[in-house]
Amino acid sequence: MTLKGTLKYVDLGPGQWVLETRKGKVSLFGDIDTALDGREVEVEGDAVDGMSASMVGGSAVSVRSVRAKG
Amino acid sequence: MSALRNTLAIAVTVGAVYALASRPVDRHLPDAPDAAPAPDASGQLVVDLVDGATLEDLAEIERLLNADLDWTSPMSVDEALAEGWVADLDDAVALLANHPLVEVVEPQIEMAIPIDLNFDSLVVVDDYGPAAGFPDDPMYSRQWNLPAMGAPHGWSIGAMGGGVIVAVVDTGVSKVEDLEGTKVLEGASFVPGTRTAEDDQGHGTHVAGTIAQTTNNGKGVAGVAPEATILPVKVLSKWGFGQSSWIASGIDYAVDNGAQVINLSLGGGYSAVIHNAIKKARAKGVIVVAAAGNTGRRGVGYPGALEETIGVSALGPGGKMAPYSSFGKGVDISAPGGDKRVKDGGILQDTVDGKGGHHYVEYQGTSMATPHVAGAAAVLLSRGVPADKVEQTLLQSARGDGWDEKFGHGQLDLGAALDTSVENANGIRFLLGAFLAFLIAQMAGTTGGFRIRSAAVGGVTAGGLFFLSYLPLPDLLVVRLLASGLVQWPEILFGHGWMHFPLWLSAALPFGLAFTLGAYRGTRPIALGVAAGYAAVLFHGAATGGLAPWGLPEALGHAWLALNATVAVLLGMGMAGTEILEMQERRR
Repeated sequence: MTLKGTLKYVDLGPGQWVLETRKGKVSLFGDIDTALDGREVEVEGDAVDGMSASMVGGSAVSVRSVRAKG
Repeated sequence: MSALRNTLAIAVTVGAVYALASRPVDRHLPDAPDAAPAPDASGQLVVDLVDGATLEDLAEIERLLNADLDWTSPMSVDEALAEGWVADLDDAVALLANHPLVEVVEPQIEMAIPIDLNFDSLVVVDDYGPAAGFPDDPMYSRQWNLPAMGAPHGWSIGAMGGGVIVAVVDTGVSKVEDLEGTKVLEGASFVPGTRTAEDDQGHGTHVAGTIAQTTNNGKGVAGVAPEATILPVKVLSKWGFGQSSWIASGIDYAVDNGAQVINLSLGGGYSAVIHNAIKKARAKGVIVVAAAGNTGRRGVGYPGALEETIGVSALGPGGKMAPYSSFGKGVDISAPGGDKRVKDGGILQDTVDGKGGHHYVEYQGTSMATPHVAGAAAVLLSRGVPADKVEQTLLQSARGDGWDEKFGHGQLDLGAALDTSVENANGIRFLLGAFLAFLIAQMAGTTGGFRIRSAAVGGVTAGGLFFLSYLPLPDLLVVRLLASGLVQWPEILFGHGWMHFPLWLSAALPFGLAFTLGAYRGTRPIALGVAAGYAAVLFHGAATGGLAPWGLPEALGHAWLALNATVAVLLGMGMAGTEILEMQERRR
């Protein structure tokens, strides 16, 4: 799946990447370049079984790639 | 007839004392969760078969589903947790929902802790500043969280979690520099592709450090219960998430391997297999502590919201609820989780750095609050508080006025919890000791004065002048000795564990006194009182599991205590009989 939104780093525990989309928050799991923090991005990934599962809430996506828009 | 009356009197008194000491705590839980709905699609299914289910049973389920299932892990065979891919999750769940071989069935669910390898953005503290007194860990001065929840109170009386196993069900635990003196078991991993419980992420090691960081070793930082034993159970991948079957298997493994406390700094939506594993843990007396979640909103995540877990919300350095903490029904207690908006406001521990080394780093989150409560539970267990009283003691002693959705029953206060547990136990022991001495003296027909003197000594021997703990007295050694029963004195004088020396937990001292002080009329009530007080403490310790003679297996330890208590009672009866004989001789 492809998701679009603003990438944000949330400082909880060792840290959590969250994508803020128009439909809500998505927790992202995978390698993400820290330089993309705060940027509009396109995320390629797979939904993780029906539950956000992260303690920051929202649904969860296992990330294959993240690309800055524009 | 009078013997029967006396026996009934003892039974009624003991029963009343226990009933008074067992005031239940009101729980505030969210509405019962529904199992996660299965989507109309293929997917991975988790089936928790009845315990002890065989391969033939599994084959029957496979035939029914027309699918291949495998045990989740070789270590899950006993618990009969299996998983496999099915063509239609919805149909599979419906098919097995009421099957007699199946306890729980649900689609595989993933749970997570917040993750990232972005260590550069964290507040990292690597300088070793000076530290004075105990503990001598140089960065202790930055651990506002430990005094805030009363850890120093435990250290000051030698209550450090010794002999208690705490399972850290997390990303694993690595024995970093400042875990050098901590007992860390080998543990196990339930994450496919990993063979050991080594931490490849950092979260689990940080959590383990809060529970049992090596303390007073001149290095790094301190932990709540430094003598506790850590059982690492890896159920979360290096990305910080794990499937429900891994987590349920990890909980089962922890229980099977002796965990007395399970720390779950993880969360998400409801999972029936995890709930089932936690129910089994609770049924075996294991205390389960879980994080409330980090949404910053009302609504506690699972498993923290379950009735069977102690749900923990997070506090910042000022004692206010941290802005990220979830709150609402399901929060039972609050504990320091950190607030990095404040300088040095995070929770500082030693953990892996993601580059093959380690560093001292501040984290924040309800993940960090949870191990403070798990460590406190370990400390209480090590002090002889029965497992079924630990949660009640923690919640009732928490700082707060009743329950509210942010703090639960209040803010964790280990000092108050220890005081409460010791005072309660000493009050009970005082009553038992006094009553037993009085009864022994009365059954022999001694004078009223003899009975009262014996009862007074019996009470003080068993529970000390326990009421001194309620008075605003200075924290002096003599006050602590006076406020404690005789059996506890080695603990206060020499440190944790000395009370459990088998010869001390025997009838040796009453025996010695019976043939010295017991031989003289004027000091006989003292010897009788000590014998009865000792007997009361040993009986109480055997009944509650609060006393554990060194080197003896549990059952043998209880038998040792009961046998020696009986001998002490017989010594008391002998002295009471001697008193009567001498009294009759004097009359002649």
